[in-house]
Amino acid sequence: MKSNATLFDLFLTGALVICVVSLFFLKLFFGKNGSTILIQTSKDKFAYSIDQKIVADISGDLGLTKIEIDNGKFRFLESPCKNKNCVNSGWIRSANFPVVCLPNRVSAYIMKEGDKDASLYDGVTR
Amino acid sequence: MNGSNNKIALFAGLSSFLAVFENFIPIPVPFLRIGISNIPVSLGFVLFNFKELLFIVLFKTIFSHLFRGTLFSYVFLIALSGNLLFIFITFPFYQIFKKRISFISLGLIGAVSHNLGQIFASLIFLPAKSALLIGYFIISIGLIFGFANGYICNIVYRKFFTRALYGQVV
Repeated sequence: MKSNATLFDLFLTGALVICVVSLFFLKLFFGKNGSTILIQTSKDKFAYSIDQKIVADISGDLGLTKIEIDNGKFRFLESPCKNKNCVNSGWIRSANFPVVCLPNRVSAYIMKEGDKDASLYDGVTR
Repeated sequence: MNGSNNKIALFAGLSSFLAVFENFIPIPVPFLRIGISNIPVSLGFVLFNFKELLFIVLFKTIFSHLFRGTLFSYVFLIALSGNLLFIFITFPFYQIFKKRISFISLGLIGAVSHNLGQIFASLIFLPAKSALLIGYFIISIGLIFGFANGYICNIVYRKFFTRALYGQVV
């Protein structure tokens, strides 16, 4: 065993750093996030394919929320709520990152591939 | 008890102490450890065989979780998986490359194998797959800490071991 850094050490350090950085960028640019967007209201639950370009009209407690889905991303286009926090959230591309409109009681998120709805939570109390 | 057993006890005790001590070092992310308890284990690669190293690692894992109060929880199983994968990957790596590496390589391989073991165990024992979301983060930070621990091991080895292996100290 050597007591000073060797060429092998430097090579291994470089190789591991390149591996981690490459995996990160591969995941960032080519990773498939999910294929389904789940929209929930106080009364109903809707699932849409994320790989399409549509505007979904969702009826909430206050009125109609328009959610735009555009090939892998979605946003709240219009909402009858006062503060428009949901609309200001902008485009969402990441899975398991929900946008919630509390006044109109509408929420939406992209489901991760293979995940079931309940698997997002550690536990549920009733 | 012969001299070899004394050394095993010394390294197991030191490693366990550091495993408990590193809980008191503040880290911004709660589940991260800087891994200073692996410094005696890494140094032990030049002194001990596989069985003896396995004993040190198991003793450290059980002792530190006994102190934390997490011995019979999934946290222990995750840590145990990380430690077992660490020893099962790093020992053959050391045997193959020991003439060409310093402790920096050992620290890096140790950190990656340790983290991969913990991530695999998390996927098995935890219901949500959140370990994958932070996997890149854990491995990236692990590489930095692994490099730092390897560097410290190099200094300790240079200062004490090279003399001690051929002298009287250890």
